Amino acid sequence: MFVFESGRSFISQQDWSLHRKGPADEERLNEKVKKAIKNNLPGIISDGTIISADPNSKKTIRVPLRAIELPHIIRARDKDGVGSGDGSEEEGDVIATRPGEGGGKGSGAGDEPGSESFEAELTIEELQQLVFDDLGLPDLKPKAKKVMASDEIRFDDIRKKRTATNLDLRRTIEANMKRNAIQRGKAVIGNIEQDDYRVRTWNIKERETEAAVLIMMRDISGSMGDFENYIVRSFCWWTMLFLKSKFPHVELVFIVHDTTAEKVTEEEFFNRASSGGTACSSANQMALDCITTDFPTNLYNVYPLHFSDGDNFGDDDDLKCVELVNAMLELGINQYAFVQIAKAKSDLLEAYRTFIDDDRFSSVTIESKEEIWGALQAVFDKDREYSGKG
Amino acid sequence: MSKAEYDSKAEFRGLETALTHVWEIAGEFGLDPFFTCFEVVPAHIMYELGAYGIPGAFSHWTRGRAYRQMKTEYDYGLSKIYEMVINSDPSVAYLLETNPPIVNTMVMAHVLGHTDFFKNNSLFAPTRKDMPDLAALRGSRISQYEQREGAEEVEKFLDAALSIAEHVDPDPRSVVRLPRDEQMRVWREQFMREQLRDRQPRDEYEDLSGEEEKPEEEPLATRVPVPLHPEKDVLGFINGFAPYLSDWQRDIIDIVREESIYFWPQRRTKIINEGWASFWHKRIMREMAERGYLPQGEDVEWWRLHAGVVAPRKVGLNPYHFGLNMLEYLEEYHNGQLTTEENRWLENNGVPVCPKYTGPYQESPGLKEVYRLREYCDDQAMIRNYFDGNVAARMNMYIYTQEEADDGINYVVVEKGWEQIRDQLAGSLTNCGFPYIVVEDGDYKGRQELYLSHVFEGGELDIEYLNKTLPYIYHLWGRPVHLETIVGEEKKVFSCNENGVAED
Repeated sequence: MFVFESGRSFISQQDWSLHRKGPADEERLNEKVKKAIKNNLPGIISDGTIISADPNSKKTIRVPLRAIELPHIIRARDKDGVGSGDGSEEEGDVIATRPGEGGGKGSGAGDEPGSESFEAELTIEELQQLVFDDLGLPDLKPKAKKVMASDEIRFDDIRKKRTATNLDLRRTIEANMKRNAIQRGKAVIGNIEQDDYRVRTWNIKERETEAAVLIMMRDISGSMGDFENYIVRSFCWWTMLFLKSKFPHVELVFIVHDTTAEKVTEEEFFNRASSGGTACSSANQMALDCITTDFPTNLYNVYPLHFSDGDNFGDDDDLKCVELVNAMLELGINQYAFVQIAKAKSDLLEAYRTFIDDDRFSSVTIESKEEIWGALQAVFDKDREYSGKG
Repeated sequence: MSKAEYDSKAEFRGLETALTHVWEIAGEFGLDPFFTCFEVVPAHIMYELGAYGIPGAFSHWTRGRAYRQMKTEYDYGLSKIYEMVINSDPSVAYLLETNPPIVNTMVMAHVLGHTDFFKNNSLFAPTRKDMPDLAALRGSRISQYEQREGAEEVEKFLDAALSIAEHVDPDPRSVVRLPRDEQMRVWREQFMREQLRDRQPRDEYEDLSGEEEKPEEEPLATRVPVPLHPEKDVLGFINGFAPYLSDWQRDIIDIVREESIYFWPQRRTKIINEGWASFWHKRIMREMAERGYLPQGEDVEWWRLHAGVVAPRKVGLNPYHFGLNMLEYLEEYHNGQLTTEENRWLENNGVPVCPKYTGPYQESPGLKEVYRLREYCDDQAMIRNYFDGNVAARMNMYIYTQEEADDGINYVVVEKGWEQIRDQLAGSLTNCGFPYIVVEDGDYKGRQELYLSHVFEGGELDIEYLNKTLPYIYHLWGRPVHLETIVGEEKKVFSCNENGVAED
């Protein structure tokens, strides 16, 4: 500390380097922001701009958070104010312009209480982390491991020819000395030739991982409109990401159906439309076949997921669906989820709920964008306990 | 002291010398500041102090947000705090270590203006001069509550108290609150006295008539209204009369309330206080240059900073600019130094013109007048009493309004008349710009409900914010809360209970 005193005043300087009060309170704010985002997840995750974004992009999204404001009782914003110009201003002159929506606050209005608005910025990755914190995978059973390429790279090989940036100096000199010993009878360094160079190189490591398959089925009959499609897209986007976060390797199967089912590409899955009727059993049959032939449950964690608006043709078909789903459960799939995009009770839903007694079966209904989050949580319920049936 | 923390001892010595000179000149001009301690701090400490207002004050996420905002603005070069000064005795002021010495010299001169104002303006007389120590003690009490009651519980309550922090009564006569029982006794007695006083004789001969002819007296009402008269100190009232508060909650309300009262004079004198400080840093620095105390060639540095600080704003009022112009205008008026054009305006408006003063500056009537203002004025009084057409013209002032346009909001000049400008300014400063809310009834319908009333001053409330704030007041009071106000010339009551806010 440095002090100088002159009668009625002094200057001093202390060591502030361990002072952390401001940053500590900033941390309080961050906690609050995180909480507010969690509370707003229903709105945030169903937002169109998020599901159209590349999940790996580092782009940040801005989330306006009203919950981060501390409200006060304030006067209705006065449109009038007082300013000082250069004397040239006349009545009717425009002296300044504030850019439109979201353009921030005008100068001079900043220190009124209540004029605060807060926008949190987070990357899609951070958002995913928040989302996945609240989801759980039901019924993870140990499966036989599959051997596949992983992201891991190992420098574990030495070659004579490769890029010189990975030159292994020690081995190069050893080789040089050996050659000199052989050719000239003296183990010295020098006269390095192309043949002496040793370069490190890598192999892509293989490792054993658990594999999963997500079988997505979608009703494309005439009764599924734009809104329904949006829900499917959003739900699938998050489901795929979530499974990918749990399994290094997830295979995707897309099935669309009206009265008959068809395997399609991802692109087609979201865009295909049909005007025909509906037989949900066709998709379930295809899923069942697919599991037995391509994805045996002893090798794969299997997650069939069916989107429908609940309209199905005929009681017979409903019962057939029950049978097929039971057959899949019998095979040992991890979970079967039925997502009905409509609130009303449907015969199919009724049939499922009446005749399937297995906690690996879950069914949810969605009616609005905001309900996607709740539905995800219901399907991937973190806290659900399984009785170990099936 | 490491080299990185502060450039060199020589620079520090230089500041000490400058401070001696600043004091010397300030004293000669008649300034009478508190003992002032200057502390040289790094930038992040400056922002932290700016965010808290008082060093060591309690922690809250809103302060974390203020801190981040100031830090960000500094990092992006948008704005910079030059000065931070605490109203206490001794006063404490902070200097930014990265500022060049000439800038810090000017800041010291400016700060002495503030600490003189703190000491001599009558509004500041009742403020606690030991606030930094108190604030630190209170801050640590609140962290104890956090440990005991849980951080979330404390934060929730602190949020609620802070949401109505402005609704206090800074009148020194109402600052001290009596304990509940004592207050009730006082109100009961006062209530009886007032009822008797209000009892008018039925006719002027009543006193002459005999005992038996007197009509029967109605018995005095015994149910004392709580509060007896509308109470502006909403926080104080809640503290005393909310039915279910525990001790730590009362303490938190008290802490928030006292902090708000402490800052009230600074809110009320923002313009004149900054004007006063700018008035003096300008004069002191000019005198420093005159006496050769400033390093050669560094004149331009402080003039540039000064010009930036007191620059006019096209939209909104810069208190430094406005305050300085008001004081300088008044000084020149009383010294008879106005321009011919300004004198003509005075004559046309029936204002006497002062004779030209030629004596020594220290004894000039203009200086005496600004010293008089510094003693009793707040912003509103200064504007109501002294703002005129000349000063409006000096600052090229106008009233603007905001109009929707294709690409955003346009600020459009709508009025240039000085009286309208004066009224607009003075009106916006009523109750420091906050709506005037009073407690009407603390036992509404006999059910311990709180009935608040907005004393309508011409401006409506922001209903969205009101709807959001009422649940906080409900959290404090613990029983249903009502607030009466005027919406579109109609009386409306907003009520909040455990089911949320409803309007009727």
